[in-house]
Parts: sequence; structure tokens; C-alpha cells
Amino acid sequence: MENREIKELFLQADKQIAIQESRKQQVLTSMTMELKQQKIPVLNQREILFSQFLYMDKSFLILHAIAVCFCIGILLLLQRAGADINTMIIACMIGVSGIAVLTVFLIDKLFLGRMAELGASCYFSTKQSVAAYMVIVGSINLAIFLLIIFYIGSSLNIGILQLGLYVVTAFFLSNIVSVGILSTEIGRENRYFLFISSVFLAIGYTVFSAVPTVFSAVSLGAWGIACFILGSVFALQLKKLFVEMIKGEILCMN
Amino acid sequence: MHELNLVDVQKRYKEKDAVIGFTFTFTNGVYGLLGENGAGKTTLMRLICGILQPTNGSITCDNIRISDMGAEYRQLLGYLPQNFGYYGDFTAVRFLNYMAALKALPRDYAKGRVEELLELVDLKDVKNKKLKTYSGGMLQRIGIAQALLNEADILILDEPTAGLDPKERVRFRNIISSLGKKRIVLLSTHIVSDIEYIADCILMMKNGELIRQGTENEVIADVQGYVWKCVVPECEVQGLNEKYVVSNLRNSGENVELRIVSDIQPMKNAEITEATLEDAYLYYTQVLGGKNNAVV
Ligand SMILES: Nc1ncnc2c1ncn2[C@@H]1O[C@H](COP(=O)(O)OP(=O)(O)OP(=O)(O)O)[C@@H](O)[C@H]1O
Ligand SMILES: [Mg+2]
Repeated sequence: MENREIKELFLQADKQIAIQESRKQQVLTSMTMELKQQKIPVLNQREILFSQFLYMDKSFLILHAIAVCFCIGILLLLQRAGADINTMIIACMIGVSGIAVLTVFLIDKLFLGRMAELGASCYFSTKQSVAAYMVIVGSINLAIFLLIIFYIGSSLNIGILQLGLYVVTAFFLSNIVSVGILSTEIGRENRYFLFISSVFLAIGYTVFSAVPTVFSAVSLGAWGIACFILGSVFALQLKKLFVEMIKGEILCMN
Repeated sequence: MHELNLVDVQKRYKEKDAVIGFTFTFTNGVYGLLGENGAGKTTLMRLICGILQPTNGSITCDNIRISDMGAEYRQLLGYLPQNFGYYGDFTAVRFLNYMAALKALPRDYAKGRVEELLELVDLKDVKNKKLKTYSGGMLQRIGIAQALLNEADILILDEPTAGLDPKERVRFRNIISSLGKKRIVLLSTHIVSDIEYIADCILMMKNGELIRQGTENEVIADVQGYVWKCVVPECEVQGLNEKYVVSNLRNSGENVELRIVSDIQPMKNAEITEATLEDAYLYYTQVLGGKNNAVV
């Protein structure tokens, strides 16, 4: 049977039933009443983010901004002082690592700390907050990194992609280390481990740069592979983090 | 009105079942959840709030799984965690506004609501003080206010009266009993008197299981005839205390008047006395040695 035919059947059936106009009106008013009683309107995601930003703890964001400025300042100073290519690459890597660690620290502190459980019961949940701020802070970081890479890359005798590869590898590595630390119980209890680890990473990069051909074209392939592997590990780590947030235990740890 | 349905819900931590075989249907009303430390009350509440996922079983709201409803379900929720986190540097007003943002409430609505709630929990005078300067009871009241922000249809309060002074307790009880008419209110507590007279239904948990459910009168009726009153010399108290569950004791002159919950007469001159909810709670948690679904 076609839709049209069904419709006709219903219309015919309806004709046989006398519909009381007053009853119809009654139903309508009661339905509108019901609708009016419905909950307070819910904001859209953009508005939620905006009011969240308005009231959230912004001291960490300020800390983040200071760290970024500090990092850029050092790089500019080094460049003025005529540092060689290797030093500049290392400085970029250390700077980016530092910012990455700080970002992980910030997101953890803001959303996965003691408020995590309470946040998880809200309309805009902890999981969404974490995702939203990863995207927002992540894009800001990306813009800054690109700026650094383009500026330093063009002022030095080095390909922008090549410098980008080093920086991105360092970025992945420090993220993996810091997310890794925070996912262990000891790490969560001693958050300063994060900063100790970034100091070790910085020392590690410096030692590493002593290998003669490490930043030359011959080892680019190895860097590419390392970058790919670290990137995949980081992606897996993030996926695991979100799966755990959905399972919930991680939100109730504090 | 919503119907919250738990069917055979289980939550297993590494090697321990914190909640097991929990089946219950909530409709509008006040539910008092009683249980000893570690009985699984908090875990159950986290499951109901969708913060934890059950290892087994299903939790549905109006026949839709709450995990599938997502934000739509959380919109119905008001939750006070047992240890609720806050930013110490926030003022009460800012904290509540921040929570309102997370609950996706429009800002102008939130503004009025925050003032209303601060009035309700009697913190208007200190609303611009930082939370780190608050006492435990004041924080708890902010926690309660926060849970009420969105006029939730499902209100889950984990030990809401912990740290409240007697005056605030009374006030809180009045708030809850008025709230329970139009929504589901589930609150856990160790203090039986907090839910006496206001809970439409008492749920008792032990070792992760729901061991008894029913109205206050039904639950009390179970232990009618198991509560004894006796007067003994002070030297006998120790011995009786080791052997039986003593729910109360009071000095009366040289002797001590004991209130004992037991299925057998503890001593010759013991008389049966009127049971209370507290006696019923003690009976289920202490006297019945963890027998499942014991029916008296
Ligand atoms: N994250 C966790 N990992 C492992 N076991 C846990 C975890 N959380 C709770 N448990 C265990 O689950 C059981 C129930 O804990 P729960 O916190 O739900 O009890 P409760 O009834 O709320 O107790 P209390 O009255 O002390 O608040 C306890 O034995 C506890 O040790
Ligand atoms: Mg608890």
C-alpha cells in the first residue's frame, strides 16, 4: 500500500469520529503548558565555551602565555647573538618541548584535577572540556610553532620542512613522556616529575646534538621514521586517554 | 516524570565487585541509600550519573540507555560528589557561575539562580569570599547549591549532610523533602536520622548488593520484635556489647540501660521495644551476617 492510500484511509476513518473543538483546544493548551514548563533553554557549544572561558581559572593560561613569550624571547636573543644552526635547532626543540609539557600540565590541572568527577556529570562534560581545550590550546601552540619554524628557518640556512620535522618530533616525544607520567599513579601524585622530565629531555637533546651528522641531510630518513613512530604512539595515547575518560575511573581518582 | 531503571548492574574494580546485581526502578520521590563504609554507595551513584560505566547490566532512563542519551541525560542531572572538587581561588559566586556554564545554562538565567541558591543555603554574606576560606560545612552547602543549579529532574547527593551543623541539617531536610515531589532524589548517608521521615523509600546496601528496599514503615516492621531493652549493671555491658549489637546505651543511676538488636532474647529480663529505622539498619548491616536478600 502506498503512503497516499494509507493517508486516505486515515482521513476517512477520521471523518467518522466527531472531534470536539473544545477538547482539541484543551489538548493544545495543555501541550503548550507542558512545553513551557520544559527546562531552561540550553546554550549551544560556542556559547558554553564562551561562558566557561569567562569564569574559568585563567591563571594557567597566563602562565602559558608567559612561557611562550619567554621561549620566543630566548630564541630571538640566541639568533641576535649569532648562534650556530645546531644551537638554534636544539633551542627550538627545547622550547617546543617545554610548551608541550606545560600544555599537558595545564589541561590536566584545569579539567582532570579534583573537579573532574563533578564536571563529568555536567551537560558539557569533562571529556568535552578536555577535547575543546586540546583543540583550542593546540591550535594556538601550532600557530606559535609555525611562526618560530618559519622565522628561524628562513633566517638560518635550513629548510623549513627539515626544521619542522625536528620540532614536531620533539613535540611528540615530550607529549608522550608527560602524558605517560600523568597516567601513572606516582606521576599523578608528584606532578613536578613533569618538569624534571622536561629538564632531562632538554639535556638529552643537547647531548644528542653532539652526534656529528644528526642534523644533516643524511639522517633525515631516520628522523622521519622516528617522527612517524612517535606521532602514532602519541595518537594511541590520546585515544586511550579518551577511552578511559569514557570508562570513568580516571575521573574519580582524585 | 522520568523513570530510571537499573537492571542487574555490576561494577567490578580490578578484583573487587563494588556493586553487584543491583536491580531497581526509580520514579519521583526521595530515596535514602544506607550502607556501611565501602558498601558501594558512591560507586552506585557514579554509575547512575554515567560517570562510571557498569561492567555488566544496564541503566536506562525512560527506556533509553543513559550512555546513549549522553548530554541529554546529563542535562537532567544534579550531582553532589562525596568529595567534591573546587578551585580554592574561586569565590562562591564565580564557582556557581562556572558550574552553570558547564551545565549550559544561559548567563542571565544563571545570575538570578545563583543568587536564589546562595540565599537558600544561607551563604549570601560570604558569596564573594574565596572558597579556600570556607569551612567544611560551608563548602558542602555550596556543593548542594551547585547540584540544584539546573533544577535537575534526577538529583544524586552523596552524603550531602556530612559536615553540616544541626541547624543546617534541619534546613537541608526541609529542602529535600520539598524537592522530592517533582523529581528523583537519591541521597546516601550514614546518619539514619537524616532520611527518617523524608525518604519515600529506603535502600540498604551491603557489600555492593541491595539487601533491602521498602518504605520506612516496611523496613522497620521487619525488625519489630527484634529490638530489646534491658537494664544491666555496668560490669555486664562489655560482655553484652561483644556478643550483641547494641544500638544505644544510657546510664541510669548505677545501672546502664541497653538497647539491643538481636533475633533472640539477649537476656532474661530483656523486653521487646518499639523499633526505629536505626535499629533496622543495624539489623540488616550487623546482625544478618551478609545473607543475601534476607527476608525476616
Ligand atoms: N577506584 C577504585 N579502585 C578499586 N576499588 C575501588 C575504587 N573505588 C572504590 N573501590 C572499592 O569499592 C568498594 C565500594 O566503594 P564505595 O566508595 O562505593 O563505598 P561507599 O559505600 O561509598 O563508602 P563510604 O561510606 O566510605 O563513602 C570499596 O570496597 C572500595 O574499596
Ligand atoms: Mg561513599
